[in-house]
Amino acid sequence: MLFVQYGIKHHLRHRLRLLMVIVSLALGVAIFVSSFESVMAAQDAIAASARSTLGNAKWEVSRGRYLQIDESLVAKFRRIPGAVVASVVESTADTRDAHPSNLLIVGVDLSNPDTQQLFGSAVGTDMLAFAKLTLSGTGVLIGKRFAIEHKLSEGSTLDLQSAQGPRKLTVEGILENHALDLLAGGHVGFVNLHQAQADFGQVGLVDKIAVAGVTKTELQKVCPSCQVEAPGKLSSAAEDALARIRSLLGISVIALMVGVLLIYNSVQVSVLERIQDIAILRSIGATRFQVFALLLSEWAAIGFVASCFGIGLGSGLAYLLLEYTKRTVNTMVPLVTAAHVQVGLGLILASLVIGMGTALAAALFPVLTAAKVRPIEILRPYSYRRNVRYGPSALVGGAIFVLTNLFVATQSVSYVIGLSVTAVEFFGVALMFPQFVLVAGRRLRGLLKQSKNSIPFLALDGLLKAPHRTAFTIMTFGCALMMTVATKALVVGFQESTGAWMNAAFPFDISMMGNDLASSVYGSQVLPSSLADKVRSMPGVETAYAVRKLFTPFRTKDVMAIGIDVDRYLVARQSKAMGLWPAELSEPSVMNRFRTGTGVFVSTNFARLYSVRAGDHIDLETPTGMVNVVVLAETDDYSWQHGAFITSLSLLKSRWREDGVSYIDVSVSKVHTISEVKHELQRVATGERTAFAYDKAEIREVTDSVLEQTVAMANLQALIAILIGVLGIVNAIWIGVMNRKREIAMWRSIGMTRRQVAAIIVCESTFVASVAALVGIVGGLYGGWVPLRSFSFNVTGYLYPCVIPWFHLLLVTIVALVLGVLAGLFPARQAANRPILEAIGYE
Amino acid sequence: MLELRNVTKTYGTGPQQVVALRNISLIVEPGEFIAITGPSGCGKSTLLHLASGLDIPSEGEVLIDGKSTRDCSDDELTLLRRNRIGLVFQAFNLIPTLTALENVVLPATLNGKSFATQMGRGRQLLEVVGLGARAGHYPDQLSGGEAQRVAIARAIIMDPEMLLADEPTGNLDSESGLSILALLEEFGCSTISTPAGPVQRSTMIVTHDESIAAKAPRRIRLKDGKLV
Ligand SMILES: Nc1ncnc2c1ncn2[C@@H]1O[C@H](COP(=O)(O)OP(=O)(O)OP(=O)(O)O)[C@@H](O)[C@H]1O
Ligand SMILES: [Mg+2]
Repeated sequence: MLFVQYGIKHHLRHRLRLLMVIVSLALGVAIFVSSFESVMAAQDAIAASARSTLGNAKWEVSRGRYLQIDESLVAKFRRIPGAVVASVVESTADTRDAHPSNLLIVGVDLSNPDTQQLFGSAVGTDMLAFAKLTLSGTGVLIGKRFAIEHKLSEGSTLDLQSAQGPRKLTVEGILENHALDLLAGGHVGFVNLHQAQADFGQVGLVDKIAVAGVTKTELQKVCPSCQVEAPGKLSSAAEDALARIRSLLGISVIALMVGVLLIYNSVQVSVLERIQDIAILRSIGATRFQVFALLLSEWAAIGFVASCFGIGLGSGLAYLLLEYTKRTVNTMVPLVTAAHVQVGLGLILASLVIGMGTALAAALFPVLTAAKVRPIEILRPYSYRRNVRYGPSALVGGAIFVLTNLFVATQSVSYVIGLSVTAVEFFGVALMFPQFVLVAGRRLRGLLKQSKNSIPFLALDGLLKAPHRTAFTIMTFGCALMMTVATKALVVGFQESTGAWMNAAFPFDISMMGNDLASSVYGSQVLPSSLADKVRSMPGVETAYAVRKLFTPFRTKDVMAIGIDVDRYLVARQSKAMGLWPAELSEPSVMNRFRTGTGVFVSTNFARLYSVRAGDHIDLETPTGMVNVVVLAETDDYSWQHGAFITSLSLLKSRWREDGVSYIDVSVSKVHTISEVKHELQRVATGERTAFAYDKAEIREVTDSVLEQTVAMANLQALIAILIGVLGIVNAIWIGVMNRKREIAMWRSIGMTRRQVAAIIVCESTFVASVAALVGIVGGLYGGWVPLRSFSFNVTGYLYPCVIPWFHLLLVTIVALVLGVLAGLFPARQAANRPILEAIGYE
Repeated sequence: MLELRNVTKTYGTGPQQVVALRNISLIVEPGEFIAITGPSGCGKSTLLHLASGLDIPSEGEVLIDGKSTRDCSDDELTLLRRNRIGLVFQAFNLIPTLTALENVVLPATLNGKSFATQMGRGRQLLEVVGLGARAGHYPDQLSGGEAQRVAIARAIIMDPEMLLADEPTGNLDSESGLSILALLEEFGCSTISTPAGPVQRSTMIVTHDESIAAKAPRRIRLKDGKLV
């Protein structure tokens, strides 16, 4: 008990410092908790949607995510003894009312007993509703939640915009099953299977077959080319969305590491301050272990308290984050509408472990040193001189740094490994840094000695009294700045390359599309090809060419197929005097193959991800069987992170049986303005169906904002990390002031004014901040150009140019300096206002 | 119980080397009361540090119950200091954030005893050193002499077999010095009852006050690290 009391008393005496440690640790935990929670909530919502779609089915048989499967297989599966088999058509559509939202359409044959067995729990067993649905040609059963949101009742008409065009359905029943709320947030409608095939799919084909009562091998024996998976698998778009959100978790880890250094400084000082006490304890019989346990349990307790605060704060933050997350997810998979934050016991435990673990990891080294200290060294008055040598650890750190970078540069690593390597690299830098500070500081001190103004000299001298602490403080703040610089470098690089691509590749002024870019960037709504002809005949339209975008399986991934109306595209380029793009089209044989659909261009990332080169032949899986095409050339294209290939629209029409078009790209004739024509297009479009027209600048804006949205969270976290870093500076400078009470009093007694004392202290914090800014800029550019770039290269195959975000760098420098001055103010006041005699009597 | 055999202690290396003790041999028998005197810097504190196992000699052996401190693990030496040796430092070394009473009972709580059970004994000892009324005061509220007496109380709370005191009267006027000496003498003369029968204590104090040294039955003089 006395031990505990002793520890508590010590920390209460330094409560402001304790507060800073707790705040910074709590912030770190909060970042973790909030990103984790929102990821989990989104993931749960998506997974729950996927899971409940198939009711009680045990297996889901399909041919990949974007190919349909022949209905005749159902009968074959039913022949397996014990099999319960139901076919399912799935599609999404948007409502066309005042509050457009999406609706997941599930087509099942509810008159079939197998289907009732598998979907009864989702739909309920209202036989009358089933019968009505089967009889009616256009009936739909909707969930209660959706009905309320869209003010629908039995008999009302539901106006939908699907990928295949506008559809009108009659509400035949409202399902009061709460389980449905899990499914696409309750936005689900059941329709008759045959009707779904006719209206939202293709007759004779289904999206998947739900099966129960048999084993996977039995199914695979019947259909060897089928994919048999347990229900609940995420679509690749959903997975991409989740991957982006998950990366937030990684950033929270970096923020926590920044926190580690701050805590390290605090622990070290709190231990150093008590080194005399510890020596006394040791000399009167406290064992090393007792000292170790005493100090470490203190920090475990502090970690515990901070984690509790962090969990509270993080849950609050999670609500905000979830909004963001939902938006990101919805732009890619328009399904998740309901996800709620739930702080589970597991998360609480994990956060406690992380918070306390961080505190303990930071405390371990200083505490170990304290426990190992020989009392005899300390008990002699003034004998305590820590003979720290940074050289050897700097060498180790340097080796770690070089090795980790070699590893990142040469290996293709997964996200988790990449992150762990980054953590190790961070550790390496932490080891090197004190030596660097010592060497650079000594140099600079020599220079400053010449100067007439003694203030910078004394400030630097103060910082060099504890090179360790100074180094870690610089790193804490520098790393936080580094995070913003690195992401900015990446974003700017990406924007520059996509911008260049869009200017080179797109000869249009206006693009019409089936989905609203503001709500969904990856929407799959299509427009009828006839609309293109109509557009072409409009006044002001010089040329218009159609583009179809669809996803198709390739090897293990889903790639994007982009079909272009080649001839009209070439005309459009010519009218804009843009030359040929891709340039390889100047070769007649290439041009010929492109036109006829026997050759395709692949995006640069496609070529890298799947190691294909110009001249290679690749096999593409289509609804009409395999197609073999030759790769004409690589071309820059940033449409899809799993790779895209560009082919002629006719190939998609003949082999993918796709008739609709995704975009109609319009060039405006010289006598009309873009906005005039855009206006007219919009008018024509909405008359017939939902379509949207955007000019190039708007599209550019949307793509940029999607990217910025993705890094917005990273920036928010970096902001929190910067806050932690500032706290770190306040903490370290203040500790320096406390440790130099006597020295400062001595300055004052020989005639230094309060103002001068304050100036020295502010100068110290500004020194720290400016070196941190330098570290942040150099490290950030490096981080953005090497590990982040190679990471994104490994994952997406995109290799961005290294761009220097000058404006951002200037901003970072200014912000860092201002924060540095601010951080010094409080300790400066403390130092300047201390009565001289009291300070001299101290100790 | 304590024996020093040809003990030499040097600090530092090369030109900065200081020989604090040179080839010292000394046996301390149970029941002895020894005063060590000598000019400043002659190695008195060093001798006590070696005797308590806080430090080990550069050459020769310090034997406690026949075992060399060189062969003891850190934990063994620690437990020795906790349970069998009482130490009073030259610069009394109290913990500033603990009260006088808490400082006194600290060694006992290290043994896993609760603070509450030791309070009584702690107060009693403070009474003995004449500070019964100051139990709740913090070290910075005590005078040098008072703090020294708290340190003595702390040194004897574990009922040690050997008491080592480094200038216990150094900061005191001669009258308080003598009362402290009386205290130490009284403690030194008392016996410890063990299951094996009564054991006599030994006491070693460092002082440069000749009037105090004169009262000790056995006197050892050090000069330049040598016994004279
Ligand atoms: N850690 C050390 N490093 C270097 N020299 C030391 C160290 N400890 C003691 N010495 C030297 O060893 C010699 C003996 O020191 P010691 O403290 O034992 O003297 P002392 O007799 O106790 O002196 P005083 O009466 O002033 O307390 C001195 O010369 C001292 O400078
Ligand atoms: Mg001495």
